[in-house]
Amino acid sequence: MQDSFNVVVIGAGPAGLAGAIAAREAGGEVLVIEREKRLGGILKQCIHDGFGLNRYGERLTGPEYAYRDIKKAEELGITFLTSAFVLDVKKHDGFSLAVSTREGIRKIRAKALILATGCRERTAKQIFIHGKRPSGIFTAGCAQYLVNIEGLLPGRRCVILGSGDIGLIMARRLTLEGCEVVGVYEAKKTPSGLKRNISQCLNDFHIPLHLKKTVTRVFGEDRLEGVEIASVDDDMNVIKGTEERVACDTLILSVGLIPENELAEKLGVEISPFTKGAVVDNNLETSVAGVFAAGNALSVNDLVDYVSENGFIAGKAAMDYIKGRKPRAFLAVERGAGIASVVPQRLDVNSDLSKVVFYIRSDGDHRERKLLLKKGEEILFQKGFKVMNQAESIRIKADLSGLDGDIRVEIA
Amino acid sequence: MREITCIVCPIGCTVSMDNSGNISGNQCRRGADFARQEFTSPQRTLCTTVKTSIEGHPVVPVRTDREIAKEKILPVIREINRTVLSERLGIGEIVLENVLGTGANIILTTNELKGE
Repeated sequence: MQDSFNVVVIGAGPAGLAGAIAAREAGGEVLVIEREKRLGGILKQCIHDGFGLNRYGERLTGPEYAYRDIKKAEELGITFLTSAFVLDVKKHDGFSLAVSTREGIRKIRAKALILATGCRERTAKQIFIHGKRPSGIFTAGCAQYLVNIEGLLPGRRCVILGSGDIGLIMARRLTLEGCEVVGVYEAKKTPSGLKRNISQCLNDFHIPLHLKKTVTRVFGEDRLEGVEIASVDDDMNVIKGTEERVACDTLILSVGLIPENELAEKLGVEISPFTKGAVVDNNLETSVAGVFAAGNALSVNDLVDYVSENGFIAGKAAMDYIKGRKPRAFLAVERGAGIASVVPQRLDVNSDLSKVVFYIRSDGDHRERKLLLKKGEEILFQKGFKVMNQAESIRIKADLSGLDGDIRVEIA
Repeated sequence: MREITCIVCPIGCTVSMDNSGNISGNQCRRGADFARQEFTSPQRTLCTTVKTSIEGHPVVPVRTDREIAKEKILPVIREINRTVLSERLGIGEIVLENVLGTGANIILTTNELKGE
């Protein structure tokens, strides 16, 4: 294998695969570095269906969705380096990476980088559950790995904390494999996961969903024996006197995902406090020229279709950068009323603004609202929505050609 | 009046049917079709795993190649859990044919046994 490439993509999940395909199709020599043995990222363990509805008009399972991109990438002659981990990355005239591989440490050079490292799950420590450290406490993704890849059941009687999609999917999966799922507990007053998952994963199997309740303590020495559940108020403070003990040998946490940004930080990439991922322009280029971000490393998505779309945008833009795009000049995309987060956070006026894709999250649940893009008081774009849920990201595509001032996204 | 949540796409419309069979609340045609089916005989695609005797692949992902009646899900999964795959099949190939007479085949959803 050569040691110099146009584009090096880090991560072979859906964002990385799409980024590699787009960069290759734009004429680049592309290397994808993946720390696991197999390609596909988290999709390998997402064996349920519902992926690719927007992109293919089909309800694929995770492995099937990944397979299409893997096949395409291989046909295109993209180079893959699996069981390899990027230890360090430096920018000079281009980028140099130190990569740990099965053959030892290799130096690899790239003209542009796509960070497609995905996200990590929040753990028990991050949500302040008290008690000892018995076995039997798993993140939902870890439980999913054990069941779907290793064929192992994490326990027999499970409590699920958090109503994120992976937690709901795991409630169904564990039930099908013979576990008793006592209930799903959610501290917020509305579920975090998609409505269809509440319906097909919980209601289909009569698994109760308890809102405004959380786990405050765990019991057990070697193995988990039970958890303490308490009610919380609207500000998520525990209400004293509502504590009850629920017997279980397994606690599954589905309490949120955080973009993985170790490499981005090493490169000095600016990180958004709202998405916890890189601040990017409309080409998904970060604050460091030549470094692009895509997928859940950029912002946590609820649809893989958007993750792939991210990858395609970044891959094509990475090659435009290498071919010598104009220096960037930015206009800001500000968060206005009702907006929790928006990607991209800036627009490069020296690039094509005729098809800018925005991924937006509202800060609450609304009905019959409009999403607006405004420059001052001038409305540049608007779209009506029957329903807007905090749990579901909104994607819009706008023609902002000729834009000459900062814009603001708001819900009215 | 009965209500269901449509599971066809991520929007998750609340769709209802009145006593004369009129559907409302859906945003697309597929939602209406889904609701009619759901109110008469609910169908689901089953996605699960099957054990293998192939080294490095304790289980592999499979699904039904069409929807099956909701009440068939548990019997079908028991049947799948009794099965051990020993052949290196490819993605889309049949692991169990016409499982429990449902008319659905259990197909592999990964190509990992082919070394990919």
